Amino acid sequence: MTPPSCMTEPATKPRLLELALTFNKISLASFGGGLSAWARRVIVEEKKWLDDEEFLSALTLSRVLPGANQMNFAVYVGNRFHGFEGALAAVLGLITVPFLIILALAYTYFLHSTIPAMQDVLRGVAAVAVGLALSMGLKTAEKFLFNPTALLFSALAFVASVFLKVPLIAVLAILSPPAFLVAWRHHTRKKDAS
Amino acid sequence: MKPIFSLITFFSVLSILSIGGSNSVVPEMARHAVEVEHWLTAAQFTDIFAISQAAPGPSNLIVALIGFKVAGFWGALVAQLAMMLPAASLMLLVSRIWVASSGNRWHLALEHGLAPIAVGLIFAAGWTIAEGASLSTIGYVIAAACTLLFWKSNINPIPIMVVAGTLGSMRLI
Repeated sequence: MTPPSCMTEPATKPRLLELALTFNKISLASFGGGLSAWARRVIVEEKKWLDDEEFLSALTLSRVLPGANQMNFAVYVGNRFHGFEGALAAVLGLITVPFLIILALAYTYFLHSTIPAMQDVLRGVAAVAVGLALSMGLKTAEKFLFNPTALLFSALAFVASVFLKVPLIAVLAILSPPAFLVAWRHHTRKKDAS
Repeated sequence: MKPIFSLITFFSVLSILSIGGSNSVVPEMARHAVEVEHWLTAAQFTDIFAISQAAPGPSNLIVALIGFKVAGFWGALVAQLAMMLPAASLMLLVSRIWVASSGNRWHLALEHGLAPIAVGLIFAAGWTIAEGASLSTIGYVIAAACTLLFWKSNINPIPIMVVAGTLGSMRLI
């Protein structure tokens, strides 16, 4: 499927193997829910396959729709460049090695009754994953610093999610309509340049 | 053949129900696997949940662990595919609609409108990881240092993760 011309195009269209290898790299570094930060680093900064806005919308779609967020994101990026085959390549790249690792862990746990001492490792990795997530938020937020309305929506989403414990779907259901209306009225002057 | 069939039917339905990520259906997964089908014990379920969270890869790999317990390698493969295919098909369909509508006014407004909300949710995700891992004071210091480091430089986080994981395994974090 050829993407319409108004989306920012990367310099080179990734090949199927590169899609698979890239998503393998993303999944292997995604412990304990650190997906979005690492994925942005690779897809937006390194490979420049998506710009920030498309990345964020793809991420939101991946979160709202059923299925593991990483998997959905791989489907989006793969399809974006090579349709069904691309989605398949990205998903296979994402799942194959972690699946083999989980098989090894399953074997260890169920057949040898030993629990791999992973909680302690996870605690160390989580500290870095937190830094990765927050730094990505800061990098992206820099784009909205001069827009008080956008900052307000960011703050509301954060507070609702962290302090009020509102489920993700409810946060989006409540905040999306007003955010959409604001953007609907202001969007014309923006995207013309690209 | 019967248990394989139960794995397929249960997880393909759960796939479509897993709105917001596969962790949202973990309670239903536990109920069905432990109480209804007796595929594993409650203690085993708690263990495999921890294993799946700590292992690299998408969060739905807990399904492969359940499948493995039920029917070995093929159980793992079949259960994992059942958990992936329905949701991935829906995502493919929606991705196509989204990419094809690029340039439409509603697409642009949705993209611009959702971006700041997504950023707020990214900060929330960082916060949630910190809470879930019950970090020590040193852990928080490392998290803060990493935030600054990754924000202001393009250093590769993988070696740092390996070091932090090693320190964690020695119970230093």
